[in-house]
Amino acid sequence: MALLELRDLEVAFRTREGIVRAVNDVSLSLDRGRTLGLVGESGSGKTVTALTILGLTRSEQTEIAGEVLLDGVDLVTLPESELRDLRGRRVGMVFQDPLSSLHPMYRIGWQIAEAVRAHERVSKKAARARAVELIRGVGIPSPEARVDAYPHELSGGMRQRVMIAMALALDPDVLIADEPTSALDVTVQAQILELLARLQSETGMALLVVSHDLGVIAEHADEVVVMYAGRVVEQGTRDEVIGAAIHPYTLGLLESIPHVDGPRMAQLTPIPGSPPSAVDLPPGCAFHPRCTYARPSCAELVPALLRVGPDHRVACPVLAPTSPLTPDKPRR
Amino acid sequence: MSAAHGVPGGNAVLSARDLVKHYPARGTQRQQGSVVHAVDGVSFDIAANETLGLVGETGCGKSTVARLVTRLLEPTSGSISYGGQDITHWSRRRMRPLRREIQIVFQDPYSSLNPRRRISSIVGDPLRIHRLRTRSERRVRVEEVLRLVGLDPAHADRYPHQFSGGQRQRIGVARAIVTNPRLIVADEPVSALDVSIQAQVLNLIAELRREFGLALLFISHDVSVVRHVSDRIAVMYLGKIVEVATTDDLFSRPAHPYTAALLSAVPLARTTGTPRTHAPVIGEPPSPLSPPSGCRFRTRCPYAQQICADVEPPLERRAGSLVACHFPLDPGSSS
Repeated sequence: MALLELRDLEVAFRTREGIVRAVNDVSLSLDRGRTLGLVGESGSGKTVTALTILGLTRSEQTEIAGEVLLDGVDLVTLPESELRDLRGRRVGMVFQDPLSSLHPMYRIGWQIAEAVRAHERVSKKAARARAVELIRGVGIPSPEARVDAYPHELSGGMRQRVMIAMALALDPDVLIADEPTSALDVTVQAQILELLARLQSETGMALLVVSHDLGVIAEHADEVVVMYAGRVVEQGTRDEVIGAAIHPYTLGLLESIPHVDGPRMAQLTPIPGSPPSAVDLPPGCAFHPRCTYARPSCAELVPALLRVGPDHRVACPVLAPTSPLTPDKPRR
Repeated sequence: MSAAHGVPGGNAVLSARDLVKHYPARGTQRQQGSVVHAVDGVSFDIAANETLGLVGETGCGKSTVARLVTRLLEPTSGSISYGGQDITHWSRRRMRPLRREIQIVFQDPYSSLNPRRRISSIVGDPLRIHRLRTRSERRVRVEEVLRLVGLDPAHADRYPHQFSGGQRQRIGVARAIVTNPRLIVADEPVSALDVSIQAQVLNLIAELRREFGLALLFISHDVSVVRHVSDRIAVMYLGKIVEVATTDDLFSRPAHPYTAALLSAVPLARTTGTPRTHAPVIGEPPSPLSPPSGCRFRTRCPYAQQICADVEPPLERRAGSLVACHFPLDPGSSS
């Protein structure tokens, strides 16, 4: 049994403009010590998927269906009080913007200690000592002094390290990182990604990285899930999805980015058009209006994920190899 | 002097010399007389039909350079020449005729277009302001540039919110080219766009450049985007240019340790190829309120020696490029 497993997850929001089906039929699984990259553009549903794992999208206006299994326990149906106990302790989370995720008026050591004290009965002194150790663990210099710093006194990279320290304070089994480095410069991004990899190898935690950056995903994920307009269009191991992409959207993404090495291209190959609005998705395959391989049938049926390799699944009946053509079963 | 900054023959459209921009610091540090060294002695030339890429990380001063060379900001010192004329101290009124030749494309396609005005009037504005052509001719020209940037002229009477981010950036480009400028300064023009849309706008910029022989100053934090569009690249760090080279030279033989670190830090979206040595660079850029003495990169540089703290390395010619480093990397030993 996988540590974390999503089965046919669906998330819909009732809004004034109509029902937004943000996430549809998302199934994925993540094991201890592994890194899964969830990649997609704005509005693809990647962040909603990540937030829903921890029940952070729950509200009167939200309909959630399917299962989120953590060690076999379904978090979708779990009462809020039990879910709250789980957050931080079993599943930690790091958000994109460390400045808005930290309280500006409290010292960082206090905020980390608070995370510890919310779950464990420890003295303030012990919690503070723990905060110092955590700050040391994420590579912040002179932790004994920095524990008393306010967020504004730290740089963006240091703040993100604090967020990571806080997320790891209770030694969670899973760390969800939503665009953890998108607000940072590349030289700092490289340091944060290396830090996450080091912490993962030390603790054996599972890592779910949500990112729009294919480069970040390609360098750090073992498995990759590509989302478009609320659905998984391609998933598999890193080598399958990044190295041998099949879906026209994944291919399009890979071809449209300029590279830092290799021959310089005279022209990039962009994906035509723009992503659809979530309240008004095209019928059938949501990508078909932008797809050069589209056939009339693509506008009729939502394509199922077809199994094309050991772990490789593609939601494109046009480009998926015809054999072995097996309809998908949720991955174990 | 001008030959040292890269344009052969001295026929530069734009020349910046020793540009400096200092701002008073905010808050309590203001009373102590601290200044932000946003740009600290930047020089470069751009020739007609040339794209100079300006790359650097947050806070290195690249956007300030964009505002200085377009005269949207007054420099603390230094000079800006356009077509051989020193325009550094020209009045707003005197600048006005030049404004149609120098245009700017901004990063954010949402905040740079007035939401209450139709696309036709946003794009037609520069023509109206410069009293170019009659009203009906202006309309024709607006439709022409809309077509040129890949928008449907039938949508000319729509408002910005009716367009997607990529389309809005096309509108920003249309507004910039409507007066047939000689120089466009593009400040992070694709950074707010999704990757699948970025490529569309990059291709558009490349096409327009080829077609109209524009000089382009292309500013971005994204090394791979800058590489794609630029003929030459200037790398900025903490208010200074540390290296200028042709795009191919810069990427095949980076000479400044910061350039090398920047290039190696970019994650690659593929699974094959030679494994890369990771950036040896440590820490984060120091504050521009109190830049380090000597070489500004020395606090993060793996090769720094005592001289780097004592003597500021000048930007010097070295094997076809300009490098500001006491210990430039050997060709071939890096990347």
